Amino acid sequence: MGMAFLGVTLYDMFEAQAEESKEESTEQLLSQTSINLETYLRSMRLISDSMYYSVIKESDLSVDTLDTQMNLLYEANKDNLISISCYTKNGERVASVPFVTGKESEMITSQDWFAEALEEPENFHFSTPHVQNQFDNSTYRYYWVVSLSRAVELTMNGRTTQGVLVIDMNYSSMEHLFKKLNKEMTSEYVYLCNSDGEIIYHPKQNLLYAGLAEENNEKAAGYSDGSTQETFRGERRHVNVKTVGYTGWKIVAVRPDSEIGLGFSQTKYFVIIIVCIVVLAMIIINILISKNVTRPLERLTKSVKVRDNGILDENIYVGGSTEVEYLGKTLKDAAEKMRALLDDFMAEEKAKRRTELDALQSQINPHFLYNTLDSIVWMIEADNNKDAVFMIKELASLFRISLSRGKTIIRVEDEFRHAKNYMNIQKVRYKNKFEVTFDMEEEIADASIVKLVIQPILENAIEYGVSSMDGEGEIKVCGYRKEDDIFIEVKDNGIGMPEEVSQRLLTEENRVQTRGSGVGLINVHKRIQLRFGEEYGLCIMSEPDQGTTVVIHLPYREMGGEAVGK
Amino acid sequence: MGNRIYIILLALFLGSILAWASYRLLHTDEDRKTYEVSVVLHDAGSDRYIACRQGMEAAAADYGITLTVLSSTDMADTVKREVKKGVDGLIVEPDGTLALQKYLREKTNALNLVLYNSDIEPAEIYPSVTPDNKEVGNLLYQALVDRYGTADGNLTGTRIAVVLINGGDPAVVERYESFMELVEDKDALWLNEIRGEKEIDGKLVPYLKSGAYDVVVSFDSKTAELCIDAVNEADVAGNVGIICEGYSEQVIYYLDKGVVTEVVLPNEFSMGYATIDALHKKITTGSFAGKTPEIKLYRVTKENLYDPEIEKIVFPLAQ
Repeated sequence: MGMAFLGVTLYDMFEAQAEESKEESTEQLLSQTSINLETYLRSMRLISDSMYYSVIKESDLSVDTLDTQMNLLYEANKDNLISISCYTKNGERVASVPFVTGKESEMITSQDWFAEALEEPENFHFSTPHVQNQFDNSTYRYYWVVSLSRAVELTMNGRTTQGVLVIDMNYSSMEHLFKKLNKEMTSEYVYLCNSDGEIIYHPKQNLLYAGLAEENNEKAAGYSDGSTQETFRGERRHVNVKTVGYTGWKIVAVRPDSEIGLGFSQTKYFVIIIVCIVVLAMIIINILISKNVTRPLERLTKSVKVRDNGILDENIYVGGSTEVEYLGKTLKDAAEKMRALLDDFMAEEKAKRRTELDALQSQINPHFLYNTLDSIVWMIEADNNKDAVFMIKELASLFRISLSRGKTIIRVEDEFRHAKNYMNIQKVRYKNKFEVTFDMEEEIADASIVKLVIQPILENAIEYGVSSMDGEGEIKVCGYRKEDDIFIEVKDNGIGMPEEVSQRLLTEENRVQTRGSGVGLINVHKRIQLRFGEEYGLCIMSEPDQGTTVVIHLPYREMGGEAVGK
Repeated sequence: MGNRIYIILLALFLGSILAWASYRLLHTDEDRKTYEVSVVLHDAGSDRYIACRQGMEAAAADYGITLTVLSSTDMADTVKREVKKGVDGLIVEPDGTLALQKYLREKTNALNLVLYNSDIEPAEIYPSVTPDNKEVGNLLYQALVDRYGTADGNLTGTRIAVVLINGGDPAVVERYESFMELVEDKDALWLNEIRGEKEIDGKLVPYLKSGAYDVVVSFDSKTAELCIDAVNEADVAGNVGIICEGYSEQVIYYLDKGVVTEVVLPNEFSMGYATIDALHKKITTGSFAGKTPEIKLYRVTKENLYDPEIEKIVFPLAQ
């Protein structure tokens, strides 16, 4: 569209400029023609003046003749003249060259050039073209002439009388001038008319006379010099007019608008061809460029969509132009990173599930359960129903919190209760070989904690710390908040362990099934880290014979929702 | 997909514009194609054809036609020869011979041909440019009546010589017959027919000398010239009028001198132009409209010879 618009605009501009320069050229041509015609007409007037002032006025016709000088003047200008003749006011021939046999005087006086000369004796009179009708030309030839006539004073016997001097100019001289001019012009033509619009010369004069053509000459004669637009017989035309001095004749140049278009037709087609070629070339280039960009983008989009639909093995397309290739590479890297992250996440979730399952599994350890149930049976058999009920209640609470309706995160208070339930059961089983105290800051009661983290530590504390201390063992569990962290310490005054042992406890090499649940500390540590991050977890401090302190480090996060157990 | 269809359509559209513009660019000159046309006339060099030829040349310039003008005494032979040359069109002034008529009838659809100043039977075969010859006869009769007759069109007491030399020319015959039809029962004192060139010297001149005629009527310019010569030879110019049809420089000269009383002239420039116009139409479209539009006829006398309208017809500018 842009190219088409540009082509049309440029063509219009070119056409306008060409028209303008054509206009200027026409003006110049008309001016030059006017000068040439004026020069020609002036020379005719000079001949007339010469004949009158140098010959006629100096002669007395009763004794002198005009023929000799008239003949000289004629001979000097015969290329442009048909004849020179002089008549009395009655139409009688005084002198004439080259023809001598004149027509009857009535025929002379009836002619327009004669009558006009006598009507306005002070002026020259230029007639319109007509057939010379003064002489009897036995060669049968006829001449088209333009008559330049003037009134003259004839002297005869000392008395002056009026007469008419007429110079018959050869019409073909003027015709030749305009024929040459019209030949030079391509899309326009030029004609000559008098001030009344009567045609003096027209390239299609005969057609006009025969009624086979028409011209707007009468109207054009009324135009002032310069350029005018007119509409004639439905055709728009450009008309330039130039007035010839003295005679009032008008040189009229006519340029039909349709001819202007014809002149530019080749240029117009050429412009159309160029515009079409350029637009086609642009389309082809665009297609090629698009293919270099669009197709790779389509392939890239397709491969991304495929991956989006879950086919993760699909390779992201990398190719095409530099930008598309870069985009593909970036998307591929992003996809691979996402894949890795997803894998890590999946692995993490898997590990989480595994550890949680392990932890849960440890709580449903058959050994713990039927040892506890054994104790309950023993109590019932011993009619110690009260303690049996207590044990059953503690066990129920323990399992209730262990299950926690499937939740992984519970309140700190519930975890403490769970630990208490466990320890109450263990105290009975271990026949109160140790004492346990729980100290939890109220502030952390509603904070969240991964379930089943205190119990395994207590289990270890019992198993590896105080079980052999015979009543002197102490286990303290305290929980407190420090800034944005929660710390839960399980401290025992048991036998402790060397540092290297305590450091190994939280590594994978220590994942060894023991008498308890066996997973214990590593499981707790891992679960805390999986849930809250690697900066959290367990910290074990121990010295032989000094006891062991296991610190559970958690972030302080408030729990939402109801408590699990009562 | 939509975009692809759009691009294909656009490319097709541009391609067709390109093809059209290229064709037009390469064939701009076809609009100005020129044609070769031969014009076969009875006597092409005669001055009676000046106006006609000027009209033909003006039309030829307008239509890009190159003219070759030929004279012929054996029309059929000349026409066959030109056809063989392979010209694009022909203009023929029929001579009334059977050979030409037969040839033209045979070649009805094969020739781009226009008949000038006459026709052949049937008239619908070829386009023809001819004045209304019946009307010419009528105008000659009118001229006779205006000069020599009464108000009611009677020619009582008038002695008329009717000169018919070119009896083979169908146009001349048509004018003659039209004239005779009108004049025969108009009580002319004497209506005498002069037929053939031999009778000019043998019959017309002696009768003119003897004062036997008031007026001489002829139907073509060649005959008119002979009549003028006869009147001059008989030294009766001014006493015996000549009423004739047809242009020639001699006829006009003697009209101007008053020897010829009146001339009936068709607008021969228009005829020439109309002939080429009709031929161009035939060549380019294959169609023609039969007889040409009306050709204006003029009654030219010494009095109106130099009237602006008449002088332009009688003395066409040599452009």
